[in-house]
Amino acid sequence: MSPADIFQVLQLIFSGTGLFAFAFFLVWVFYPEKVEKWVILFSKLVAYFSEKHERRYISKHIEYNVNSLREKLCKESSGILPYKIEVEWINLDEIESYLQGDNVLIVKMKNHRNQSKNLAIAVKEYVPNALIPTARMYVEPSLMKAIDYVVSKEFLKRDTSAFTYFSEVVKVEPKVKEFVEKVDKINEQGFLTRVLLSEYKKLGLLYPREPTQEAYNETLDLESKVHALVIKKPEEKVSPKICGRFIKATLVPVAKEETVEKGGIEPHLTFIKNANNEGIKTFYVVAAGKTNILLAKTVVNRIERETNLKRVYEEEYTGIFRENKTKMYLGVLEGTT
Amino acid sequence: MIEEHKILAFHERELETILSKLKLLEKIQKGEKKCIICGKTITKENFGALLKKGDNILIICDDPSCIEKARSD
Repeated sequence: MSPADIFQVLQLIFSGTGLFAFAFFLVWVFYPEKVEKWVILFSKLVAYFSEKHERRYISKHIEYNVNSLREKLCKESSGILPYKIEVEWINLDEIESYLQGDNVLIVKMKNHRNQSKNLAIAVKEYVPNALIPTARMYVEPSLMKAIDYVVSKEFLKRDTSAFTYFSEVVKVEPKVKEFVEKVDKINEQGFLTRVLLSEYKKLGLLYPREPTQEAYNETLDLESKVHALVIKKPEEKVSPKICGRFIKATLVPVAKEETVEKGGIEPHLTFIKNANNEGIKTFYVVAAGKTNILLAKTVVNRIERETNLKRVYEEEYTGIFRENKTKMYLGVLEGTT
Repeated sequence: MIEEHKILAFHERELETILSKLKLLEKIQKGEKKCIICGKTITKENFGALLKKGDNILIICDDPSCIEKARSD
């Protein structure tokens, strides 16, 4: 490219339209999700005049809402939602060919003015097919339904109309409802994805074996122990440890105020070392509030130095702790052998 | 490469065309079709989805719970 050509390109870039296109290109490269949002907004505007754009709005809006949250949830626990969602419009002339296979579902999408209902239906179809797909059959069925329900609500929270429609229309069986209340509490502290689903997804290793009552019981046991921890009073003692055949994990809440006051972090270190010797493979070190977070990080650092356990995940996030929005911490330690 | 969960869809304005092609329009107009999950009579308004199971084409109403159950049942 000669200097004159380069000059010409630069001139084009910095002319009116060129500058706009260049700026758009930069935003597209560095903030693709913003561009996606603009495209959705544009499609929504023209949806009133063009069938093609209406379809695009319906499908892109669903895909954007679901896939962006999916990405966030997978950061909290990798692989819990292995599939993205994609809405494919069928070709009417080939309807019979779509119906060749077995168990094929074709959903009616409503007019874009009812997009909240379309989103709710898509989420209700997506979550039970995409959430820990190979492991879900080993989780106690009512508990799994409750988890699906809570995760679906999470997907719809950003769209008030969709959330309201979903809450009003979707009926929950009494047994599942009991679990929903407990799983909701677990989710408020951020432990649904980071702890419960992180452990349940490992059950996928059992596939294609038939699920057993023993596996169901262990999933219930973990749920019940994590729930007991999230609702416990400050002085109350709970034992969030499960050393079963399939699940070998424990939560290590730092710090029980009295423990730290009495013996520093030593009791936590001793607990982790002993549990590791007993066969516990995964340790979820959790804390709420600035001071406890500092202590929890010290526990994780010390354990990494003094044992063969390695930190495989660490995150600070905001959760609801004792009815208040609180800075929370989770550090995950796992055995290397 | 991330796999995708595909949702096959059609727009509500295409409903009559689809039902005609599948010879279901008249039955729905006469109120002869019921949701295979909840048993509700299907109309053009509450039509939710089509499900191919074995040799049958089944109809589900637009209740999200019925659509969810359809594939798993």
